[in-house]
Amino acid sequence: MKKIEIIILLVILFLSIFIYSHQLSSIPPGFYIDEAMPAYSAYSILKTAKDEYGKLLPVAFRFFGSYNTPLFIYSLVPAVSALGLSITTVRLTSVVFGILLIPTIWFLIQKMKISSGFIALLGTFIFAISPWNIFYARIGYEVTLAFFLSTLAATTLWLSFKNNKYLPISALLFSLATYAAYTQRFLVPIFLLFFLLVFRKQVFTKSNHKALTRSLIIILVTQIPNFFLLTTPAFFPKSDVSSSSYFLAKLVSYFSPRSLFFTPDPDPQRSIPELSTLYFWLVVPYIIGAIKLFQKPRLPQNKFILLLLFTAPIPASLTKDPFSTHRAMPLLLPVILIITMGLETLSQKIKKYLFIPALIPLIVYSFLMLYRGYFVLLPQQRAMVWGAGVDKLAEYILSNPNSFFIIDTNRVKPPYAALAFYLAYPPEKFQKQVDQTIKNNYYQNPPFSNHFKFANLETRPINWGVDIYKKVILVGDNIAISQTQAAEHSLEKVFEVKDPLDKIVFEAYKTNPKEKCLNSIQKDPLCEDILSSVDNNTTQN
Amino acid sequence: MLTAALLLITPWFWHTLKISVPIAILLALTSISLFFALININKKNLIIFILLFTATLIVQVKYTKVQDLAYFTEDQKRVQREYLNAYPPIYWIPLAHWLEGRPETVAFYRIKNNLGEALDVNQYFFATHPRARVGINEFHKFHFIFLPFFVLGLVYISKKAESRTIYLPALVVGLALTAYISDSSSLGAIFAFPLILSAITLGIKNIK
Repeated sequence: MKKIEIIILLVILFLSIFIYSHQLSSIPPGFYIDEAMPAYSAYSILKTAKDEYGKLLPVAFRFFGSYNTPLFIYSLVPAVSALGLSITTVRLTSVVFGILLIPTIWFLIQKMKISSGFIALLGTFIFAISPWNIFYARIGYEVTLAFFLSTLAATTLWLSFKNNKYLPISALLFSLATYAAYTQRFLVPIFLLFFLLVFRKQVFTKSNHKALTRSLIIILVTQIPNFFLLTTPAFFPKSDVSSSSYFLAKLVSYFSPRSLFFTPDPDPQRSIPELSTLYFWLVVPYIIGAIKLFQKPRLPQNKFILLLLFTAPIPASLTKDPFSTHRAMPLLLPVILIITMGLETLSQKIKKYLFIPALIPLIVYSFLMLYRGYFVLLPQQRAMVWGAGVDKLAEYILSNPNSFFIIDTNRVKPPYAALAFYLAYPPEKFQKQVDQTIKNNYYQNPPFSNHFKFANLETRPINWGVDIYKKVILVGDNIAISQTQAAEHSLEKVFEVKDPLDKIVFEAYKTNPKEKCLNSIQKDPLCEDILSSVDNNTTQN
Repeated sequence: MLTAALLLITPWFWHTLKISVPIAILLALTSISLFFALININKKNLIIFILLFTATLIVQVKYTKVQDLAYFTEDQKRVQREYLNAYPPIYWIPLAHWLEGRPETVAFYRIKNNLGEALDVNQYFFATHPRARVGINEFHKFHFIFLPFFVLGLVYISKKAESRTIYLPALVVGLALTAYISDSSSLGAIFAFPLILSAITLGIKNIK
């Protein structure tokens, strides 16, 4: 390995650290519920060793209507302990795994002899600046940790062909990956099954006997929590499984250039505006690399890539979503390996003095598109879907400790976790305020209720027959409380949060029970107490 | 014979036949000529293919309502204004204008989008399912069971330098044209018809 290669790799790493951590707390804007829940769960574990429902060290965390894998939440605990509970802490944990993936990919490219020297570094660089990895590494989701573990597991598995001492390490990493994300929970057994079938002659040898036994023991021991969960709803994701007739179309769409290089993930919450998962010009090395791969499918490294390629999108294709980047994250590994193969072929065909100058404008273009999509358009266009505004609402709630807030939950995703996170509400108090029966039946998916009452707030749908006769602040989105309702019920607007597109995210109205009762022609029975207290006050005065 | 048999079970061929018999015949002849050119490259086969393929491209242009690449509807103008406003004010470099406002940039984004659609495997084998396009009448073009044979055919073509020299320029010209005019015609991106059909035929023919 040349010194210059190490220097270039370090430059790629430093550049990536900058890209992956720049404006981390504000882009993506807000703090989505899927980030807030693990964050508050980690905070709760740190403070009490229990989650917000009071369950001691769960092996699957109860979220709203489903469960989440535990490894990312536990990995957040030391980070929250060291850096405090903040958006940066949560996202930084994911960034670390995203950065660690970069040298891992570089190492694998070289060990698989796909390429070496400059092209191996170029493939690594393309991975490092890929919108797919950047997007997920910069958010507090479990997918980057899972992708890192499964990539490291695949790397050690490849190394085990030459040295079987890597086989138990690979087994441990694969097993851990099943606790990191649902995709890996289903992908790992599928991949290993096909791997054992395809490479049976290389794996089932006399010299591997000990290593295989050790690997099997490691898997069996580390999978005990999963075996325990297997018969419960907590083992399975909440997504509906799609019909088999469309499975093939979805599977193929994961390899289609249009999905990978031209259009973003259709879910606005999981995509960058106007930017696909990879830059469009990479379609050329992708096609060339794919053809190279199919030309010699019997080569061990090609067989290995094909195995990674065809198994990676299987779990994602089984769900209803058309192209789900977070579920298909492991696909990025074989796609990068194929692109590197293509770049290697191109570099052999095109003269060096043409190849490098041709790359420079393409890389400049890539950076421009990344800047445009991620750092300019995403904060503006996707603020609403990312839950922006909850921070300002939490600030307002904190600055009004004597008011009581009712947060309408009719159309918004459960806001309790983000509010508990922003308020840094003591978990031991939160645990006392939730349904105490849940922890006894924790993994059986007891019905989820959006009704939470903690601090000086309550999250639930507004009850118009009752809430307007109490002195509270009603909070909702732009259609929760209409102008007519505000006038009819004598509500006074006290606060509003807008997104960068000037659309209302939250509106807060103060109720005025006295005025409401005085103005009403048909008096509600609840008005009797309100008006009698008014009369008493007047008499006393 | 194999190409002819495949033609008869290709939904795209029947779809074209319903719209125009001469165009369907043209597509059939182009496919057959490409197949012959790929397995037996000589001047005669090559000229016949080039002439027929050129006619196919002309038909594709004739049937496509070619729009100005920098044209904006009112809603697109609104989105463009939003995008322009999203940029931080940098006075020394008009990045917002370059990336959002210039007609060349807008045209480039559209060409890129059209190219992506033309390269969509699902468009040809799954009627663009699961990511059907808005405002475009998606229809079945080839049976998905032929997809593996198509890949095999491409690998076969890529291995033979002579075949590559015919197939690759035809593919690049077809893609470039479709990227420019889009494939919004009722016939679809018919440049791909002979290219896919001949690759499928070669794929089936070369199963070992």
